[in-house]
Amino acid sequence: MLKIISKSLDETIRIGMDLSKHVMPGDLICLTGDLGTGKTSFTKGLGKGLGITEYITSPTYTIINEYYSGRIPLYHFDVYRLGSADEMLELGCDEYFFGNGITVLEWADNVLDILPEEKLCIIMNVGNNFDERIITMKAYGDKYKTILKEMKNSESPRN
Amino acid sequence: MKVLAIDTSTVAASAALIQDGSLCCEYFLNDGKKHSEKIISIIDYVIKSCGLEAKDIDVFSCSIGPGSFTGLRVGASAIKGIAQALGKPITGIPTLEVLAYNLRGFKGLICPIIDAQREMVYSTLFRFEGDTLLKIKDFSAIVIDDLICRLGPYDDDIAFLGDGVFLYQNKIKNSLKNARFADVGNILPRASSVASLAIIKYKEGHLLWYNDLRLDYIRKSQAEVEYEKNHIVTIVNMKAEEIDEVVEIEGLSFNNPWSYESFDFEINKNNLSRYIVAKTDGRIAGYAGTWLVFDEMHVTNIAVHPDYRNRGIGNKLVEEIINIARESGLKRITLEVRNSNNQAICLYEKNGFKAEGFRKKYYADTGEDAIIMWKEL
Ligand SMILES: Nc1ncnc2c1ncn2[C@@H]1O[C@H](COP(=O)(O)OP(=O)(O)O)[C@@H](O)[C@H]1O
Ligand SMILES: [Mg+2]
Repeated sequence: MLKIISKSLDETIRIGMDLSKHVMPGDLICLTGDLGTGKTSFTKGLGKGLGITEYITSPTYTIINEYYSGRIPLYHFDVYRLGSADEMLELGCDEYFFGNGITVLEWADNVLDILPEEKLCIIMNVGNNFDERIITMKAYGDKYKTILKEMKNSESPRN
Repeated sequence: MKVLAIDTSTVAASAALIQDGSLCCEYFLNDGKKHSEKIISIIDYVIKSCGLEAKDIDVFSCSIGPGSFTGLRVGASAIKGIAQALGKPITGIPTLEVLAYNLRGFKGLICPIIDAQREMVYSTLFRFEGDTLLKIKDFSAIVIDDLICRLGPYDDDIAFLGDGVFLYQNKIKNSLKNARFADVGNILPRASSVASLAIIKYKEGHLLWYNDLRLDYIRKSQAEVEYEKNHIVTIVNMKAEEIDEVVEIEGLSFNNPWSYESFDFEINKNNLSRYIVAKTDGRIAGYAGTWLVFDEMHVTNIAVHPDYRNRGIGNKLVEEIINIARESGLKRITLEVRNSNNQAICLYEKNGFKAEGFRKKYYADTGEDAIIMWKEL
């Protein structure tokens, strides 16, 4: 487990960029946390780190946005509006989970039942003040444990 | 008559135009890029290359799955859009038939496999009788190892094709000596096969308007994908008050079901018997019956309710009877299985049972042989 405190929007974006250095095609990143905790902002950082040039927006209405301009494709889901995990399967989510890109899922807990066992779960919470966020990362599966180890080792002091 | 067909059900995209029975143009692109960016320009190229315009086409067609959900949606949207704008009919062709049609004239069995992720493929077994494509067995979405096992009994050559071959060719080759594989030009679905099948459909009068076309994803239902995560299946000893439910499953599973009295005897009077049930959702999903005779276990019956099949419950029951036999210090387990019940044979083989003999014409209803299987503990 890795716990990081972010003091600002920019820091959250930086943490997303840090993560981008360690991800590989086929990786699954699940984001949970209330509205406004920074899930989309974190994904923007991840996308920026992957070298995506398009503007990354929240897929709340489209459910999925795909970006191909970076080093690895990014599939960005927001499953807030889905009624059930079955609907997720109906979307053809397996093609993304087991595809050639990174899949990021906002509101992943809505479809937990059908997610592969191995994944990186990131829980976002508001901290002690308005601009503080507590970002907790949990790895399920060896490759994600390695990612967290690498992140810990390369963690640069933020101030 | 002019038919324009496309296929976008796998990584490749293709379009073809058949005019008065001859293939006028076919464009096949497998460049790893997305269909949405190329299919319209490919369609445009194919039509123009034949010196035609879109409005000259009589019927539009596309493959309707199974396959890549995204690819299928892109293809169907393109075809529906064009047909709607021009007021032309369309027809949809199942992707597994499209693949089989790539091998028209092949004498053996044809087994298209399309990657469904999670070690699963979409598959149907076909054979050509003359020019007619016959469906031998529909496997729907199936785990690749199960498919290989269930193809075991077929002696004819089996030709595999589809994008599943890229993933599982070695595995298939190592397990099935009669396996063959389509050459590079035929391994993926081709629009010309879609067009040929569209003509057959047209002649049979199966045409649709754009808004009636439905994709057939053969979705793996959540129930099948992650059933065990959400529904706890417990295995316990069978009780007398459960006989009614078990008799019902027995009746739904066998041609010559055991009666209430038989089960009553087994549970209440037979000291050698040991019956277990699998429970889930407060119901009995399946059961297994055994006799413990000296140092051997004889399995009398195993069945799973039709509502709960393909969820690993049969496997759980088999594992549990093996546990019971081990804990009771027995030396071996034996059972009989219908020669044709390939799915059950695969299940037993997976759990270490080996076919060691036959009982000729053991089953009175069909005159089928029973296979006797043994597992040494
Ligand atoms: N430390 C922080 N990290 C991320 N966002 C922050 C932070 N502090 C304040 N914010 C604000 O919180 C909001 C996060 O929005 P967004 O990323 O869309 O959240 P979500 O996708 O979880 O709903 C933004 O308006 C952002 O400016
Ligand atoms: Mg968001």
